[in-house]
Amino acid sequence: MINLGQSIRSKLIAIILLMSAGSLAVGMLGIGVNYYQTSQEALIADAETQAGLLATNAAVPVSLGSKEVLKKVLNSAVLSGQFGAAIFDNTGHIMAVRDEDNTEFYISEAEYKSEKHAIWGGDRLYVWSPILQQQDGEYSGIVYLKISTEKFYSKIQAFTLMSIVIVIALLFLVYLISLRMQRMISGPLVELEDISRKVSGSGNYAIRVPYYGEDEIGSLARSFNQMLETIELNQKERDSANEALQLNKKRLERAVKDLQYLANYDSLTQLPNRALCMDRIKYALKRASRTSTMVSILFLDLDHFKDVNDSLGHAVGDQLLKATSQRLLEKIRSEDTLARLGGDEFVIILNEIRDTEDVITIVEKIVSSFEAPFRLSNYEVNTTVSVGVCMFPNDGADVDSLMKAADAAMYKAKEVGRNTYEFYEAELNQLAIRRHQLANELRQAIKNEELSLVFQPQLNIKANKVIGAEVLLRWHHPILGNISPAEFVPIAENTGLIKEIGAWVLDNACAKIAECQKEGIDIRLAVNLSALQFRQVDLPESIASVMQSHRIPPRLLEVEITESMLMRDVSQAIDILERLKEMQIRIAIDDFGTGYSSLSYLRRFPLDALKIDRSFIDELVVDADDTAITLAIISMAKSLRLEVIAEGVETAQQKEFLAQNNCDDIQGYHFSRPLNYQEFTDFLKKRVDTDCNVNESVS
Amino acid sequence: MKKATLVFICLVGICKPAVGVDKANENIARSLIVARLVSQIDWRQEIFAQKSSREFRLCVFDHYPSYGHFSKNLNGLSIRNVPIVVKNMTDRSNAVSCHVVYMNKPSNSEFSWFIKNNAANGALLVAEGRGYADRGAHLGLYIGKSNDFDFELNPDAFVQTQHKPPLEIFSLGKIVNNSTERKTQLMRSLINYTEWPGEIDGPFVLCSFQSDVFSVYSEFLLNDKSIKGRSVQTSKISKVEDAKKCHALILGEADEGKLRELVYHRDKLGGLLIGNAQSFGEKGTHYNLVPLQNEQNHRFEINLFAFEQTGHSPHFQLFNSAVVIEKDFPIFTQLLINLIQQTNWPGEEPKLSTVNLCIYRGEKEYDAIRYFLPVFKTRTQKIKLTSIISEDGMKACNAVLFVDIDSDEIAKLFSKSEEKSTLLITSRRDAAEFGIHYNLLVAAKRFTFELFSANLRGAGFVPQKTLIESGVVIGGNL
Repeated sequence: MINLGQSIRSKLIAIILLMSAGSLAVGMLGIGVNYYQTSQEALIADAETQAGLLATNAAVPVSLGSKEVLKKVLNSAVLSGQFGAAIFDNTGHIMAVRDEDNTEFYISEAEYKSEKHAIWGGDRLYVWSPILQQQDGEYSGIVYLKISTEKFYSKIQAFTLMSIVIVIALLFLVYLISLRMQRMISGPLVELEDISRKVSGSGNYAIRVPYYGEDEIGSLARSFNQMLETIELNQKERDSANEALQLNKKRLERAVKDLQYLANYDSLTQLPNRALCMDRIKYALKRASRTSTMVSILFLDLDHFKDVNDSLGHAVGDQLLKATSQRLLEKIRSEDTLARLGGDEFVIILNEIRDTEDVITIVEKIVSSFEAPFRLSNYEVNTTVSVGVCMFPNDGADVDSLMKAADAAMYKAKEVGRNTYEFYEAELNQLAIRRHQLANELRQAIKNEELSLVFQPQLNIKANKVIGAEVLLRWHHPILGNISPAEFVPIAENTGLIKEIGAWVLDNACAKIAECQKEGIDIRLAVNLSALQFRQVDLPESIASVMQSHRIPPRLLEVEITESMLMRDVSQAIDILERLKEMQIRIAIDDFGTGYSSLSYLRRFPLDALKIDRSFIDELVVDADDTAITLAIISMAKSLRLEVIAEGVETAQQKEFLAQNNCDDIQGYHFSRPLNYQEFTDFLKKRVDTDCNVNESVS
Repeated sequence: MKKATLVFICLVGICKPAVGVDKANENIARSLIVARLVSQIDWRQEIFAQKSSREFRLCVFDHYPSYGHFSKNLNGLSIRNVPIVVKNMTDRSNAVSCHVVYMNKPSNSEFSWFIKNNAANGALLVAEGRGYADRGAHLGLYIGKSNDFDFELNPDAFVQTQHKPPLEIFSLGKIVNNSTERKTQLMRSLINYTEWPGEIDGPFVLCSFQSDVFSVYSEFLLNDKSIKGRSVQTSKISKVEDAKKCHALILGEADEGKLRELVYHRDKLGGLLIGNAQSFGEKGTHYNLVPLQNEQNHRFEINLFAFEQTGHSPHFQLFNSAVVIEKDFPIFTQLLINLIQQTNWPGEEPKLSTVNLCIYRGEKEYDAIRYFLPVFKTRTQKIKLTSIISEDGMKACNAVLFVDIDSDEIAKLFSKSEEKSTLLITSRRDAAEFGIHYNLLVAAKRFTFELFSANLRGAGFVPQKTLIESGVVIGGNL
C-alpha cells in the first residue's frame, strides 16, 4: 500500500501512478469515446451503405412491382447483427419484408419515411434509403432497415472490459517502473535528507554531499554544499560576532549600570544625586507617615567652597567634596541618606527621628567634624559647613517644601556667620521669598535707575593725600528702600545679573572720572570686577571701549579682582591682566588674605596693589594672628613691589599701625564713609584745599 | 341533402352538381350523369351490336325507384343515335341483353354474380355506391363529402369488356387500384431500364394503334410523366410505316394483324415493341406485359432475340422479374425456311416446287410459323404447313418439325422418314442420337443449327454449301 504522507518515495510513486492513471483514464476514455463514435458511425455508415445498395438493387424490381425479387434483394442484405428490412413503395405500402416470420423485427407501414434518414434508437438503428430510378431519379420507394444494436453494445462492452484490463495492467506496469524510476529522484533527495539530518544533528557543517550530476538534484546538492559552506563560514563569523556581542553586551550592561548609576548617583562622590535624593526623601516621608516618626532634612553648603575652587582649582575642589562626603558618611547612620545635590551642596536625610534633640546631636557632630582640616594632595584646606535643618512633618508635607525649608535654614546659617546650623523657622521662608523678589526687582533696577554709585576715598598715608576712591554700588528700591550690597550682590551673582551690573558700574565709574576731569579733578576710581566679567575674553577691549567713549586716561581707572578669580584659570588671568596692564590700567587684588593665592603665581601677575581684607584689619592690633597676617601681607607686597592698601580701617589705631608698618594706603570709615558723587566731589575739592593748606603749612 | 336549385357544371360533356341538391334533383342528376358517362364510352362494336342495334338498353337491376327516375329523366335521350330504353331488370340473367346494368347498392352476392359473368355479357356495369368499381364494376357513382356526385372508374373492367373509355374521363373520376395502371408503370419501368442503341432526340414518342383500353389509359397515365428523362409524347398511329417515328410501340391483342409485319421489319424500326397480348413475346416483341397465369407478381416476357436484332439492351436486373423467351418465332421461322430451301432432297431433280412442312405435335410452333410464314418470301419453293399429330401423317410431309416428344416417338418418326426421305428437324439437345438431320438450337441470344452429316448422307439429303458454312456440322464433313 502506498502511504502518501510517509516519504517522498511514496509520494513520487503515488504521483506517477495518479498521473498515469489520469492519463490512461483520459486516453482510454478518449479512445473509448472515439471507438464508440467510430463504431457507431461505422455501423450507421454500413447500414446506410447496405440500405443504399439495397435501394439500388431494388430500383428495378420496385419499378417492376416484383415483390419476389424484392424479397430476394432484401434477403441478400448482409449486416453485422440481426436486422429486419422492408421495402416500401412510394405510397408507403410495404412491398416486401425480409424474414416476415421474424416478429422481433416486425415492420409496419407506420414506420415509413419518404426521405433518407438514420435514427439511433438505443437498442435499434433505423435506416431509410430512398429508391430512386436510375433514369430520372424518380422516387419510387424506400428501403428500410431496422438493425439490432445489441452486437454493437456487446462490442463496446467487450472493448470497455478489455480497456479496463489493459489500464489495470498498465498501471501495475507503471507501478513497477515507478518503483525503480522514483529512485532516480528520491535516492539523492533521501541521501540529501540524511546528510542534512547528520549536519543538523552534529552541527558539523564541514560535511558535504556527493556529486549527483548536472540535473536539478545535482544543482540542489551543489546549492546545499554551497549553503553548508556559507553556513560554515557564517558560523565562524557568528561565533566571532557572538563573542563581540557578548563583550558589547557586557559593556552595554555596564554602561547601562553606569548610566543608571549616573542617573542616580553623583559621579564624583558616589553619593545619591539630586534625583535619587528626592526619591529617598519621598520614600522617607511615606515611611515616616506610616511609622508616625519624623524625618529631618539637612541642607549642607560648604562655606567659601567657591573660593577653594577658584583659588586651588577644581581638582582640589573635587577632592574636597569627596573628602567632605566621606566625612559626612562617617557621621550619619546607615539608615540615613547622604546625597550631593550639586556644587558644594549636600543633603542628609535622617530617618525615624523621634526627637529633635537627636537631630541636633547629629548636626553638631557634622558641623564639628569640619573643624579638622582636609588634607588634599599638597594642600591642607580648612573649610566649614553651614547646615539648614528642617523637620517633617513640622516644616513641610512634601519634598519641595521641605527642600525649600532646609535651603532657607541653610541660608540663615550662612547669614549668621557660617560654620553653624540653623533650624528652619517660618521667617526663613520669608527671606527666601525676599531673595526671590529681589532677584526679580534687580532686573528692573538698572532701567529704573535705582542703582547708584558711591565713592569711598582712599588715602595715601604717607602723603595724606586722596589718591583715589573705590566705587561702591548702592541700590535704592523705591519701596524696600536701600538694599545692602551684601544682600543683592549674591543674588546678582546667582542670577547672572552681576555681568550687566558690572558693566553698568564700569561705565558709570568711567563717566564719573570724566566728569571729575571736567571739573578739574584727576581722581582714580577703583572698580570691582565680578568673576563673570573677568572671565570675559574681551574684557580689556570692552574696558578700553568704555574708556574711549568717556575719553578718560587709563591711569585713572583701577580694577579690583579677588584672589579666587585669579587662581581659577591662571594663564587666562595672566593674559587678561597683561593686556589690561598694557592699557596702563591699574590692577589691585581685593580681599587679599582670605583666598589661597600662590605666591609664585602672584609673582607672575602684573599687579599694582594688594588690598588687605577687612577681616584682618578689624582685629588688627587686637588679634595677633590678624596682625601677623596683615604684616605678612604688607611684607609680601613690598617684596613683590606692590602697593598695599588696607580696607575697613575704622580707627586711628588701625591707621597708625598700618602707617607704621609701611602700608601705603588706607580705606575706611576712619577716613571717609562712602560718598555719593556730589559729596565725593565736594570732599575732593575740600581735600584739595586742605592739602594745599597742609602743603603750604608744611612748606 | 340540401334542397337547392340544380346546377350542373358540364365539363367535357359530363355534368356534375356544383352544390347540394334535393332528392328530386339528385335523381335527375344521377340519371343524367349515368347517361352522360355511358354515352362517352367507345363501345366494342360487336358487343354493342350484339345487344341491340335499335335501342340502347339501360337496365336497372332490382330497384324500382331508380328505374322510375331513369325512365322519367332519360326518356327521349339517345346514345350513339340509339334511343335509350330503361329496363327494369329483376332477373339478372337478362343482363346479357343490356348495354348498361345499373345497380343501386347491390348485395355482395348479387354484385359478385354480375362481376363473374359479365366478361361474357360485355355489359357496362354501373353501381350506386362506393367501392363497387374497386370490386369490378366499370363505374361506381356516389355522392361525395361536398354533396357532389362523383364516380369511380375501373380500367381493368374496361379492359375485360374491351369498351374504351375516353381519355378525358380518367381525369374526372377516381381511378381505382387496377392492374392496368400497374402494367403501365411496368411498361414505363421497362422502357426506362432499356438501353437504346443510339441517342434519343426530343420527347419520348410512345405510340399505339389505340385499339385497346391499355393504350388509352397509358396515354392518360404517362401524360405528365417522363420516360428516360424525357417528356412523353403519346402518338396514335394507324400504319406500320408510322412506327418508325416511335421510340416504343404498344401492341395490344387487336394489333396482332400488324405484329408480324412490324416484327419482320423490327431491325429497321429502331423502336421498342411492347406487347400486351398472349404469346406476343414469342412473336417478336421486345417485351410482353401479359402476366402469366398463377403469378401474383407482375412478370413480363423478354425477347432477347428481338433485343439482339434491334440493338437495344435490357437492364440486367430486369431478368430477375422477367420470363425470358426461349424461342423467337420470327427468327425460328426464318431459319426453318432457310433450312428447307437450302436442302436438296434425295433424287430431287428438278427441285421440289412445294415442300410440305409438317409440325408434329407442336401447336404453338404451328400457329407461330403459320403466322409468320406469309411475310417470309421463299425463293423457288413454296412451303406448305401442316400440323400432324401422328407418324401416319408423315406420308405427305417432306419435312417434319418436332420439339417436345419422347424418344419412342422420335424413333417412330425416324423410321417413317426413311420410307419417304422426310427431312427431320427438331430443337433438342439430344437430337443426334435419333437420326435427326437438322437441329435448331438457341445459342447466345441467337439461333444456330446443327447438321448431322451422317444422317443427312444416309438419307441422301444434300445441304447447300452456304447452309453447311453457316451451321454446325456434326459427324464428319458433308
